[in-house]
Amino acid sequence: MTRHNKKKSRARLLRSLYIWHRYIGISTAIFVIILSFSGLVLNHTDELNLDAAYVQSDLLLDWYGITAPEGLLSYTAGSAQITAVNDKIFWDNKPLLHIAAPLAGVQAFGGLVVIVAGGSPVLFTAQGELVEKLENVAGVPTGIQAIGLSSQGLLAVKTVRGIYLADENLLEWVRAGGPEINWSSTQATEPALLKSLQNAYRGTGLPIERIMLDLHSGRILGRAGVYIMDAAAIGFLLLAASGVWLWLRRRASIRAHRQKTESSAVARS
Amino acid sequence: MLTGRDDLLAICRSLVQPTGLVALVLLLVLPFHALAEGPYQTREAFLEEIFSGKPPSPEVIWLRGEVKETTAEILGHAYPGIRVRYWGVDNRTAWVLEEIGKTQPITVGLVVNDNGIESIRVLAFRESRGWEVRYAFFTDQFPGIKLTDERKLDRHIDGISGATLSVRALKKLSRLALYLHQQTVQENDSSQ
Repeated sequence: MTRHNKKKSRARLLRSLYIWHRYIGISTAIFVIILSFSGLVLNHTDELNLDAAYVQSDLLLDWYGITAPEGLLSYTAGSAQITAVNDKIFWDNKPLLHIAAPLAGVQAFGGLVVIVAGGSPVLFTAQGELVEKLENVAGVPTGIQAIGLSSQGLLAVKTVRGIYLADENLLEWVRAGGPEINWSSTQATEPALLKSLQNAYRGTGLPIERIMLDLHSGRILGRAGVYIMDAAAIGFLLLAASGVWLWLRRRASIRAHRQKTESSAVARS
Repeated sequence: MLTGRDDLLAICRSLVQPTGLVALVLLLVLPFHALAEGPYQTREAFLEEIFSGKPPSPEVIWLRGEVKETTAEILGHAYPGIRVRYWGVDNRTAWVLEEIGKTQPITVGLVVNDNGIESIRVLAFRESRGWEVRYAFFTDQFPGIKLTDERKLDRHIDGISGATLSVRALKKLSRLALYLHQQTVQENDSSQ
Protein backbone atom coordinates (compact mmCIF):
# COMPACT_ATOMS: atom_id res chain seq x y z
CA MET A 1 0.00 0.00 0.00
CA THR A 2 1.35 3.42 -0.94
CA ARG A 3 1.71 6.14 1.64
CA HIS A 4 -1.13 8.09 -0.03
CA ASN A 5 -3.52 5.11 0.13
CA LYS A 6 -2.62 4.47 3.79
CA LYS A 7 -3.41 8.09 4.62
CA LYS A 8 -6.69 7.90 2.69
CA SER A 9 -7.76 4.73 4.49
CA ARG A 10 -6.92 6.25 7.89
CA ALA A 11 -8.99 9.35 7.00
CA ARG A 12 -11.91 7.12 5.99
CA LEU A 13 -11.66 5.21 9.29
CA LEU A 14 -11.58 8.47 11.23
CA ARG A 15 -14.58 9.78 9.33
CA SER A 16 -16.46 6.53 9.92
CA LEU A 17 -15.62 6.71 13.65
CA TYR A 18 -16.94 10.28 13.76
CA ILE A 19 -20.19 9.13 12.19
CA TRP A 20 -20.51 6.17 14.62
CA HIS A 21 -19.70 8.43 17.56
CA ARG A 22 -22.44 10.82 16.45
CA TYR A 23 -25.03 8.04 15.95
CA ILE A 24 -24.24 6.38 19.28
CA GLY A 25 -24.45 9.78 20.98
CA ILE A 26 -27.85 10.58 19.46
CA SER A 27 -29.33 7.14 20.15
CA THR A 28 -28.17 7.01 23.79
CA ALA A 29 -29.07 10.62 24.61
CA ILE A 30 -32.55 9.65 25.84
CA PHE A 31 -31.03 7.05 28.18
CA VAL A 32 -28.59 9.61 29.57
CA ILE A 33 -31.56 11.86 30.36
CA ILE A 34 -33.56 8.99 31.95
CA LEU A 35 -30.63 7.71 34.01
CA SER A 36 -29.55 11.19 35.14
CA PHE A 37 -33.07 12.18 36.14
CA SER A 38 -33.93 8.92 37.94
CA GLY A 39 -30.48 8.82 39.56
CA LEU A 40 -30.82 12.35 40.89
CA VAL A 41 -34.29 11.61 42.26
CA LEU A 42 -33.18 8.31 43.86
CA ASN A 43 -30.28 10.05 45.58
CA HIS A 44 -32.84 12.15 47.48
CA THR A 45 -35.54 9.54 48.15
CA ASP A 46 -35.75 10.37 51.87
CA GLU A 47 -35.98 14.13 51.39
CA LEU A 48 -38.59 13.74 48.66
CA ASN A 49 -40.47 11.12 50.72
CA LEU A 50 -40.80 8.94 47.64
CA ASP A 51 -41.45 5.71 49.55
CA ALA A 52 -44.62 7.25 50.99
CA ALA A 53 -45.86 8.96 47.81
CA TYR A 54 -47.92 6.74 45.58
CA VAL A 55 -48.63 6.56 41.86
CA GLN A 56 -52.23 7.43 40.99
CA SER A 57 -52.07 6.86 37.24
CA ASP A 58 -54.42 4.08 36.13
CA LEU A 59 -52.14 3.38 33.19
CA LEU A 60 -49.13 2.68 35.41
CA LEU A 61 -51.16 0.75 38.02
CA ASP A 62 -52.58 -1.44 35.23
CA TRP A 63 -49.08 -1.86 33.76
CA TYR A 64 -47.88 -3.16 37.17
CA GLY A 65 -50.96 -5.39 37.47
CA ILE A 66 -52.17 -3.76 40.71
CA THR A 67 -55.83 -4.60 40.91
CA ALA A 68 -58.08 -4.25 43.93
CA PRO A 69 -59.97 -7.40 44.97
CA GLU A 70 -63.67 -7.75 44.28
CA GLY A 71 -66.42 -8.90 46.66
CA LEU A 72 -65.07 -7.45 49.93
CA LEU A 73 -66.59 -8.09 53.37
CA SER A 74 -66.81 -5.49 56.14
CA TYR A 75 -67.43 -5.42 59.90
CA THR A 76 -69.62 -2.68 61.31
CA ALA A 77 -68.66 -0.92 64.55
CA GLY A 78 -70.90 2.04 65.37
CA SER A 79 -70.87 4.23 62.28
CA ALA A 80 -67.56 2.81 60.98
CA GLN A 81 -67.04 0.03 58.47
CA ILE A 82 -63.85 -1.99 58.99
CA THR A 83 -62.61 -3.88 55.96
CA ALA A 84 -59.54 -5.97 55.16
CA VAL A 85 -58.27 -5.49 51.61
CA ASN A 86 -55.51 -8.06 51.12
CA ASP A 87 -52.94 -7.25 53.84
CA LYS A 88 -54.30 -3.79 54.68
CA ILE A 89 -57.11 -2.90 57.06
CA PHE A 90 -59.27 0.15 56.37
CA TRP A 91 -61.40 2.25 58.72
CA ASP A 92 -64.07 3.31 56.22
CA ASN A 93 -61.74 4.28 53.35
CA LYS A 94 -58.77 5.30 55.52
CA PRO A 95 -55.93 2.75 55.88
CA LEU A 96 -55.02 1.87 59.50
CA LEU A 97 -51.24 2.16 59.72
CA HIS A 98 -50.59 0.31 62.97
CA ILE A 99 -52.26 -3.00 62.16
CA ALA A 100 -52.30 -5.58 59.39
CA ALA A 101 -54.52 -8.45 58.28
CA PRO A 102 -55.73 -11.08 59.01
CA LEU A 103 -58.81 -9.45 60.46
CA ALA A 104 -60.66 -11.81 62.82
CA GLY A 105 -63.46 -9.53 64.02
CA VAL A 106 -64.51 -6.06 65.18
CA GLN A 107 -66.58 -5.15 68.22
CA ALA A 108 -67.73 -1.81 69.57
CA PHE A 109 -67.41 -1.83 73.38
CA GLY A 110 -67.64 0.86 76.04
CA GLY A 111 -67.01 3.79 73.70
CA LEU A 112 -64.08 1.97 72.04
CA VAL A 113 -63.79 -0.14 68.94
CA VAL A 114 -61.84 -3.39 69.38
CA ILE A 115 -60.32 -4.77 66.18
CA VAL A 116 -58.74 -8.21 66.22
CA ALA A 117 -55.81 -8.01 63.78
CA GLY A 118 -53.07 -10.61 63.51
CA GLY A 119 -54.66 -12.57 66.38
CA SER A 120 -54.45 -9.76 68.98
CA PRO A 121 -56.92 -7.07 70.03
CA VAL A 122 -56.20 -3.45 69.14
CA LEU A 123 -58.24 -0.68 70.73
CA PHE A 124 -59.39 2.42 68.89
CA THR A 125 -61.57 5.36 69.83
CA ALA A 126 -64.92 5.65 68.03
CA GLN A 127 -63.18 8.21 65.76
CA GLY A 128 -60.46 5.76 64.71
CA GLU A 129 -57.59 6.98 66.93
CA LEU A 130 -55.30 4.21 68.21
CA VAL A 131 -55.73 3.70 71.96
CA GLU A 132 -53.65 0.62 72.75
CA LYS A 133 -52.23 -2.41 70.98
CA LEU A 134 -52.67 -5.50 73.12
CA GLU A 135 -50.19 -7.63 71.22
CA ASN A 136 -47.98 -9.64 73.62
CA VAL A 137 -49.39 -7.80 76.62
CA ALA A 138 -49.25 -9.75 79.88
CA GLY A 139 -52.57 -11.46 80.57
CA VAL A 140 -54.15 -10.74 77.17
CA PRO A 141 -55.03 -13.87 75.13
CA THR A 142 -53.25 -14.39 71.81
CA GLY A 143 -54.29 -16.25 68.67
CA ILE A 144 -57.79 -14.79 68.77
CA GLN A 145 -60.13 -16.25 66.19
CA ALA A 146 -63.34 -14.30 66.87
CA ILE A 147 -64.66 -11.45 69.01
CA GLY A 148 -68.15 -10.70 70.26
CA LEU A 149 -70.35 -9.78 73.21
CA SER A 150 -71.55 -12.14 75.93
CA SER A 151 -75.19 -12.15 77.00
CA GLN A 152 -74.04 -10.10 80.06
CA GLY A 153 -72.61 -7.47 77.74
CA LEU A 154 -68.94 -8.36 78.34
CA LEU A 155 -66.37 -8.44 75.59
CA ALA A 156 -65.52 -12.03 74.62
CA VAL A 157 -62.81 -13.53 72.45
CA LYS A 158 -62.41 -17.07 71.12
CA THR A 159 -59.01 -18.81 71.00
CA VAL A 160 -57.97 -22.46 70.60
CA ARG A 161 -57.64 -22.59 74.41
CA GLY A 162 -61.24 -21.48 74.91
CA ILE A 163 -63.32 -18.34 75.39
CA TYR A 164 -62.04 -15.39 77.43
CA LEU A 165 -64.08 -12.53 78.87
CA ALA A 166 -62.61 -9.07 79.53
CA ASP A 167 -63.49 -6.68 82.32
CA GLU A 168 -65.18 -3.37 81.49
CA ASN A 169 -61.81 -1.54 81.09
CA LEU A 170 -60.37 -4.33 78.93
CA LEU A 171 -57.51 -4.75 81.39
CA GLU A 172 -58.04 -8.28 82.73
CA TRP A 173 -59.14 -11.31 80.77
CA VAL A 174 -60.46 -14.49 82.35
CA ARG A 175 -61.28 -17.82 80.78
CA ALA A 176 -65.01 -18.55 80.80
CA GLY A 177 -66.81 -21.91 80.68
CA GLY A 178 -69.22 -21.79 77.77
CA PRO A 179 -71.09 -18.51 77.80
CA GLU A 180 -73.54 -17.55 75.10
CA ILE A 181 -71.74 -15.19 72.75
CA ASN A 182 -72.96 -13.07 69.89
CA TRP A 183 -69.88 -13.14 67.63
CA SER A 184 -69.22 -10.23 65.30
CA SER A 185 -69.85 -11.04 61.68
CA THR A 186 -69.23 -9.57 58.27
CA GLN A 187 -71.54 -8.36 55.58
CA ALA A 188 -70.95 -7.47 51.94
CA THR A 189 -69.24 -4.07 51.65
CA GLU A 190 -71.58 -1.33 50.45
CA PRO A 191 -71.04 -0.52 46.74
CA ALA A 192 -69.97 3.11 47.36
CA LEU A 193 -67.42 2.07 50.01
CA LEU A 194 -66.26 -0.85 47.84
CA LYS A 195 -65.46 1.52 44.98
CA SER A 196 -63.72 3.95 47.33
CA LEU A 197 -61.69 1.11 48.94
CA GLN A 198 -60.65 -0.24 45.57
CA ASN A 199 -59.39 3.22 44.61
CA ALA A 200 -57.70 3.69 48.00
CA TYR A 201 -56.05 0.26 47.75
CA ARG A 202 -54.78 0.87 44.25
CA GLY A 203 -53.79 4.40 45.21
CA THR A 204 -51.48 3.09 47.97
CA GLY A 205 -50.14 0.11 46.08
CA LEU A 206 -47.28 1.53 44.04
CA PRO A 207 -44.75 3.92 45.61
CA ILE A 208 -43.03 6.42 43.30
CA GLU A 209 -39.69 5.10 44.56
CA ARG A 210 -40.49 1.75 42.90
CA ILE A 211 -41.15 3.49 39.56
CA MET A 212 -37.86 5.42 39.82
CA LEU A 213 -35.89 2.27 40.64
CA ASP A 214 -37.48 0.41 37.74
CA LEU A 215 -36.95 3.36 35.40
CA HIS A 216 -33.27 3.46 36.38
CA SER A 217 -32.72 -0.27 35.88
CA GLY A 218 -35.04 -0.58 32.86
CA ARG A 219 -37.25 -3.10 34.69
CA ILE A 220 -40.27 -0.88 34.03
CA LEU A 221 -40.33 -2.60 30.60
CA GLY A 222 -39.79 -6.04 32.09
CA ARG A 223 -36.87 -8.28 31.07
CA ALA A 224 -36.57 -6.51 27.70
CA GLY A 225 -36.06 -3.18 29.50
CA VAL A 226 -33.03 -4.57 31.35
CA TYR A 227 -31.44 -5.65 28.05
CA ILE A 228 -32.20 -2.21 26.54
CA MET A 229 -30.42 -0.57 29.51
CA ASP A 230 -27.53 -3.04 29.06
CA ALA A 231 -27.27 -1.99 25.39
CA ALA A 232 -27.40 1.68 26.44
CA ALA A 233 -24.59 1.08 28.96
CA ILE A 234 -22.47 -0.56 26.24
CA GLY A 235 -23.29 2.45 24.04
CA PHE A 236 -21.99 4.78 26.80
CA LEU A 237 -18.74 2.80 26.98
CA LEU A 238 -18.30 2.97 23.19
CA LEU A 239 -19.12 6.68 23.27
CA ALA A 240 -16.52 7.31 25.95
CA ALA A 241 -13.87 5.22 24.16
CA SER A 242 -14.53 6.71 20.70
CA GLY A 243 -14.72 10.23 22.20
CA VAL A 244 -11.32 9.86 23.89
CA TRP A 245 -9.80 8.29 20.76
CA LEU A 246 -11.12 11.06 18.48
CA TRP A 247 -9.86 13.72 20.86
CA LEU A 248 -6.39 12.14 20.96
CA ARG A 249 -6.32 11.84 17.14
CA ARG A 250 -7.38 15.45 16.76
CA ARG A 251 -4.77 16.62 19.29
CA ALA A 252 -2.04 14.60 17.50
CA SER A 253 -3.02 16.01 14.09
CA ILE A 254 -3.07 19.60 15.45
CA ARG A 255 0.37 19.04 16.97
CA ALA A 256 1.69 17.56 13.72
CA HIS A 257 0.25 20.45 11.73
CA ARG A 258 1.79 22.99 14.13
CA GLN A 259 5.18 21.29 13.95
CA LYS A 260 4.97 21.25 10.15
CA THR A 261 4.15 24.97 9.94
CA GLU A 262 6.89 25.79 12.46
CA SER A 263 9.54 23.77 10.58
CA SER A 264 8.52 25.28 7.21
CA ALA A 265 8.70 28.75 8.78
CA VAL A 266 12.21 27.98 10.05
CA ALA A 267 13.20 26.68 6.59
CA ARG A 268 11.82 29.78 4.91
CA SER A 269 13.76 32.08 7.29
CA MET B 1 8.07 -33.80 77.79
CA LEU B 2 6.12 -30.70 76.87
CA THR B 3 6.30 -27.68 79.13
CA GLY B 4 3.56 -25.08 79.57
CA ARG B 5 5.45 -22.80 77.20
CA ASP B 6 5.61 -25.54 74.57
CA ASP B 7 1.86 -26.13 74.94
CA LEU B 8 1.19 -22.45 74.41
CA LEU B 9 3.45 -22.36 71.35
CA ALA B 10 1.70 -25.46 69.92
CA ILE B 11 -1.71 -23.78 70.37
CA CYS B 12 -0.45 -20.55 68.73
CA ARG B 13 1.00 -22.54 65.83
CA SER B 14 -2.30 -24.40 65.29
CA LEU B 15 -4.17 -21.06 65.30
CA VAL B 16 -2.00 -19.78 62.48
CA GLN B 17 -3.23 -22.71 60.33
CA PRO B 18 -6.40 -21.88 58.27
CA THR B 19 -8.56 -24.48 60.05
CA GLY B 20 -7.38 -23.21 63.42
CA LEU B 21 -8.23 -19.63 62.46
CA VAL B 22 -11.72 -20.59 61.28
CA ALA B 23 -12.32 -22.47 64.52
CA LEU B 24 -11.17 -19.45 66.56
CA VAL B 25 -13.44 -17.06 64.63
CA LEU B 26 -16.43 -19.40 65.04
CA LEU B 27 -15.64 -19.79 68.72
CA LEU B 28 -15.55 -16.03 69.23
CA VAL B 29 -18.47 -15.02 67.02
CA LEU B 30 -21.10 -17.73 67.30
CA PRO B 31 -21.84 -17.57 71.03
CA PHE B 32 -22.32 -13.78 70.89
CA HIS B 33 -24.74 -13.98 67.97
CA ALA B 34 -26.58 -16.84 69.59
CA LEU B 35 -27.04 -14.71 72.72
CA ALA B 36 -27.60 -11.35 71.00
CA GLU B 37 -31.11 -11.23 69.54
CA GLY B 38 -34.42 -12.50 70.74
CA PRO B 39 -36.73 -12.25 73.74
CA TYR B 40 -34.91 -12.65 77.05
CA GLN B 41 -37.86 -12.66 79.41
CA THR B 42 -41.63 -12.68 78.92
CA ARG B 43 -43.68 -9.80 80.26
CA GLU B 44 -45.52 -12.20 82.58
CA ALA B 45 -42.23 -13.53 84.00
CA PHE B 46 -40.93 -9.97 84.48
CA LEU B 47 -44.03 -8.94 86.44
CA GLU B 48 -44.03 -12.16 88.48
CA GLU B 49 -40.42 -11.52 89.45
CA ILE B 50 -40.89 -7.83 90.24
CA PHE B 51 -43.93 -8.41 92.44
CA SER B 52 -42.68 -11.64 94.06
CA GLY B 53 -45.11 -13.89 92.21
CA LYS B 54 -48.17 -11.72 92.93
CA PRO B 55 -48.47 -9.01 90.26
CA PRO B 56 -51.30 -6.56 90.96
CA SER B 57 -54.11 -5.90 88.50
CA PRO B 58 -53.04 -3.66 85.61
CA GLU B 59 -54.01 0.01 85.60
CA VAL B 60 -53.87 2.56 82.79
CA ILE B 61 -52.83 6.13 82.30
CA TRP B 62 -54.43 8.06 79.45
CA LEU B 63 -52.21 10.27 77.32
CA ARG B 64 -54.25 13.38 76.80
CA GLY B 65 -53.53 17.09 76.58
CA GLU B 66 -50.28 18.07 78.30
CA VAL B 67 -49.34 14.47 79.17
CA LYS B 68 -49.61 13.49 75.52
CA GLU B 69 -47.48 16.48 74.46
CA THR B 70 -44.81 15.81 77.10
CA THR B 71 -44.67 12.13 76.15
CA ALA B 72 -44.10 13.09 72.51
CA GLU B 73 -41.41 15.57 73.64
CA ILE B 74 -39.58 12.89 75.64
CA LEU B 75 -39.72 10.28 72.87
CA GLY B 76 -39.19 12.70 70.01
CA HIS B 77 -42.35 11.38 68.36
CA ALA B 78 -45.95 10.64 69.31
CA TYR B 79 -46.52 7.58 71.50
CA PRO B 80 -48.33 4.90 69.44
CA GLY B 81 -51.61 4.96 71.34
CA ILE B 82 -53.29 7.09 73.97
CA ARG B 83 -53.41 4.57 76.82
CA VAL B 84 -50.40 3.10 78.66
CA ARG B 85 -50.73 0.07 80.92
CA TYR B 86 -48.83 -0.23 84.20
CA TRP B 87 -48.80 -2.29 87.36
CA GLY B 88 -48.50 -0.53 90.69
CA VAL B 89 -48.51 -1.11 94.44
CA ASP B 90 -48.17 1.83 96.83
CA ASN B 91 -45.55 4.15 95.35
CA ARG B 92 -43.93 1.48 93.19
CA THR B 93 -44.93 0.98 89.54
CA ALA B 94 -43.81 -1.39 86.78
CA TRP B 95 -43.93 -0.47 83.09
CA VAL B 96 -43.38 -2.47 79.93
CA LEU B 97 -42.57 0.04 77.20
CA GLU B 98 -41.26 -0.15 73.66
CA GLU B 99 -39.10 2.19 71.64
CA ILE B 100 -37.49 1.75 68.25
CA GLY B 101 -33.70 1.53 68.39
CA LYS B 102 -32.85 1.82 64.73
CA THR B 103 -35.63 -0.02 62.92
CA GLN B 104 -37.09 -2.51 65.40
CA PRO B 105 -38.76 -1.94 68.79
CA ILE B 106 -36.84 -2.76 71.97
CA THR B 107 -39.15 -4.02 74.73
CA VAL B 108 -38.04 -2.81 78.16
CA GLY B 109 -39.39 -3.53 81.63
CA LEU B 110 -38.90 -0.69 84.11
CA VAL B 111 -39.67 -0.42 87.80
CA VAL B 112 -40.05 3.02 89.38
CA ASN B 113 -40.02 3.37 93.13
CA ASP B 114 -40.52 6.67 94.92
CA ASN B 115 -39.85 8.71 91.74
CA GLY B 116 -36.56 6.94 91.03
CA ILE B 117 -35.66 4.03 88.79
CA GLU B 118 -35.45 0.82 90.80
CA SER B 119 -34.50 -1.47 87.92
CA ILE B 120 -34.49 -1.62 84.15
CA ARG B 121 -34.42 -4.76 82.07
CA VAL B 122 -34.41 -5.42 78.31
CA LEU B 123 -37.14 -8.01 77.75
CA ALA B 124 -36.83 -8.32 73.97
CA PHE B 125 -34.29 -7.02 71.50
CA ARG B 126 -34.95 -7.46 67.80
CA GLU B 127 -32.08 -5.68 66.06
CA SER B 128 -28.74 -7.10 65.02
CA ARG B 129 -26.66 -4.43 66.77
CA GLY B 130 -26.68 -2.77 70.15
CA TRP B 131 -27.85 -5.75 72.20
CA GLU B 132 -25.12 -5.04 74.79
CA VAL B 133 -27.64 -2.70 76.48
CA ARG B 134 -29.22 -5.77 78.06
CA TYR B 135 -26.18 -6.51 80.22
CA ALA B 136 -25.85 -5.49 83.85
CA PHE B 137 -22.71 -3.40 83.21
CA PHE B 138 -25.02 -0.98 81.38
CA THR B 139 -28.38 -1.36 83.18
CA ASP B 140 -26.72 -1.10 86.61
CA GLN B 141 -26.19 2.62 85.92
CA PHE B 142 -29.93 3.31 86.14
CA PRO B 143 -31.09 2.43 89.69
CA GLY B 144 -31.61 5.57 91.75
CA ILE B 145 -31.86 7.89 88.77
CA LYS B 146 -34.57 10.54 89.00
CA LEU B 147 -36.08 13.12 86.68
CA THR B 148 -34.93 16.75 86.81
CA ASP B 149 -37.36 19.65 86.48
CA GLU B 150 -36.49 19.75 82.75
CA ARG B 151 -37.52 16.08 82.54
CA LYS B 152 -33.96 14.87 81.94
CA LEU B 153 -32.16 12.10 83.84
CA ASP B 154 -30.37 13.57 86.87
CA ARG B 155 -27.25 11.49 86.31
CA HIS B 156 -25.01 10.82 83.30
CA ILE B 157 -25.31 7.41 81.64
CA ASP B 158 -22.16 6.09 79.97
CA GLY B 159 -22.86 4.99 76.40
CA ILE B 160 -21.68 1.90 74.58
CA SER B 161 -19.80 2.35 71.33
CA GLY B 162 -21.73 0.74 68.48
CA ALA B 163 -24.96 0.78 70.49
CA THR B 164 -25.72 4.52 70.47
CA LEU B 165 -29.32 4.17 69.27
CA SER B 166 -30.16 1.39 71.74
CA VAL B 167 -28.65 3.41 74.60
CA ARG B 168 -30.67 6.44 73.50
CA ALA B 169 -33.87 4.33 73.37
CA LEU B 170 -33.34 3.05 76.93
CA LYS B 171 -32.64 6.54 78.25
CA LYS B 172 -35.83 7.84 76.60
CA LEU B 173 -37.88 5.00 78.07
CA SER B 174 -36.41 5.67 81.53
CA ARG B 175 -37.43 9.32 81.28
CA LEU B 176 -40.89 8.27 80.05
CA ALA B 177 -41.43 5.75 82.86
CA LEU B 178 -40.32 8.31 85.47
CA TYR B 179 -42.61 10.96 83.97
CA LEU B 180 -45.62 8.63 83.73
CA HIS B 181 -44.97 7.44 87.29
CA GLN B 182 -45.12 11.06 88.45
CA GLN B 183 -48.46 11.43 86.67
CA THR B 184 -49.90 8.32 88.33
CA VAL B 185 -48.78 9.63 91.75
CA GLN B 186 -50.41 13.01 91.02
CA GLU B 187 -53.60 11.28 89.82
CA ASN B 188 -53.72 9.15 92.97
CA ASP B 189 -53.08 12.18 95.19
CA SER B 190 -55.82 14.20 93.52
CA SER B 191 -58.32 11.34 93.73
CA GLN B 192 -57.70 10.91 97.49
